Amino acid sequence: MDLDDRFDALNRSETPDQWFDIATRTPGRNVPETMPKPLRYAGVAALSLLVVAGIVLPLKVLVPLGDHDKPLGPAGTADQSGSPVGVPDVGVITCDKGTPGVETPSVQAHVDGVHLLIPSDDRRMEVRLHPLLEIPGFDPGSDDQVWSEDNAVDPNAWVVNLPPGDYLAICDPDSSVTSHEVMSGKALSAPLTIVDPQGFYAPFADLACPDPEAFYTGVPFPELNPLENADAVLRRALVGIQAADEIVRAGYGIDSTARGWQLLSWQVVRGDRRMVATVTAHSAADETGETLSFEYQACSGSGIGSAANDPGVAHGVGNPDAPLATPYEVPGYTRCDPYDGATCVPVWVTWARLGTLSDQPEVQKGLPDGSGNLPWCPSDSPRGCTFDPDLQPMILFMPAADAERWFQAEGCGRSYDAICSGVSGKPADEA
Amino acid sequence: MSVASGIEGLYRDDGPRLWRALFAYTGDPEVASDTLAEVFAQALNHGGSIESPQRWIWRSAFRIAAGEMKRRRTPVPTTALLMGATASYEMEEPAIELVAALARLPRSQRVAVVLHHAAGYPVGEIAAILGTSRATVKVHLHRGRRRLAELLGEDNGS
Repeated sequence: MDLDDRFDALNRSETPDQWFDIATRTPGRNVPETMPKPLRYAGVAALSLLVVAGIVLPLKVLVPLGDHDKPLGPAGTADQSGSPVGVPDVGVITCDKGTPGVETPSVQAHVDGVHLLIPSDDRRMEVRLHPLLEIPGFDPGSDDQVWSEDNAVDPNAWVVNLPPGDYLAICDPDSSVTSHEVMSGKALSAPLTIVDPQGFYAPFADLACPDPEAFYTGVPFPELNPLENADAVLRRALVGIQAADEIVRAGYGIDSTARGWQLLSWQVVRGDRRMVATVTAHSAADETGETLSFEYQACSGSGIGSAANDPGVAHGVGNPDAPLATPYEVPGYTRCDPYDGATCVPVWVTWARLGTLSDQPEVQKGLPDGSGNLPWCPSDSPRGCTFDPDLQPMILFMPAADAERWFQAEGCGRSYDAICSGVSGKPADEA
Repeated sequence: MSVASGIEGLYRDDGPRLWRALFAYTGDPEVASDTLAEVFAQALNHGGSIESPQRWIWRSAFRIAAGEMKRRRTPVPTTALLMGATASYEMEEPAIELVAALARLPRSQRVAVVLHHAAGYPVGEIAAILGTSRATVKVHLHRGRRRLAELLGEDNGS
């Protein structure tokens, strides 16, 4: 069987009818709930819409901030770190009757990207930015487009990860303008320059190979040690990274909000300075919880992403053969690999509770000292590193028998609502 | 012809093809279904402001699907997992193996291969949908087919 036969098989596949779902998403438009020629309906997909997203843990993952941990300054003003006077930090793009314009010929980047504002217009427009020059490692189309009415009020609503450089802004009512039409001048455009005087943007480099492979993996948030920096998390999550490999951030850095991880990209550099892999991290949630997901591309032969059991599927939920175990252990109870699925039972504890039970160094490092700050907190940290370990929920995965023994002995931990706190073992809000 | 009836007709003509393309792109039938519903609902809600609805729907669908894949936990789309996820659909095993292999392509190659082979678009139209050049699409198609053949252990037919 060749590829074309397989695509033929795909094109014979049954498809669900989503028209009822479409009708329910368009109230007031009198869309009939059935089609004149209904397609076969499989049912599963529509039922899936009834699934409600489950709990999302408020875990904060700390990563090195370095120069990127700077406050955002007001628009059009100089700050104390040397930003140029007069260059606004919010760009304004207009689409007057479809004609693009910029009120800010230049805009300076924030720590989390470039903030753009599109004043409301009578007509809904797709606004895109096209780079004048090719940008290494940058994927056009991934984060360079917004609908005008979604961005008319809040200048933080459109934060793009566009590198510093020169761009052409276009207003495209039906997403039909091609990059060729923009670059050849056949489509109306307005120039916009992005500047980055504070060096928030770390440039991408091209991979050393022209034909990388794509991989995915993820770490459930309850397994993330909030003290691990991104380097440690990536080394734990990705298969095949060598000890001497350097993990270098790319793109814009993290901001101080919960969406920080979604903005991060990384590159893996070998000793000969060749870029052998790029990684993009983002959080993803479904009914079973929240996961830090990684999508990465790696050069063949680099060893990255090549798990012995199944190349291309490094490890992750649903792959019980993969060797990634929860890092936390409690004496007297057996640790369970969460990727073994149904045999593992979650036991909910706060970090404070975990700290009374485990002498693992990484757990102890998560307990604040007498000042209330985490012990590793840099002395010059502007915000300090205060941390209440009883507000930090964690999950210990155990085999069912061990988990039941825990529940009986401790009287807590069956759920987030019954989490074991560090004070008495009772739920945190009762302790 | 009203806007709604025009979109209805487009749904009737393109809906199944778009669903299959989205499934091939995401490896997740739920994401494909949700995206299909969302993009047609958005098209209806835009009223008559979309000048080229078909192109808009295809382009927007892949953007929406990419966003959905970001928001949800990304499953590892192995053949075994896909067998379970598609148990209620009539889908042949070679097609499921193909989707599992597609998931291992870089996104740019995957979307080009899907639009060409699953959706039937010519290279020029794919370039228009993706907002890129014909040459870029050809490179992605060539590399994507070659990699797919390697993953599936067969002749790529080109």
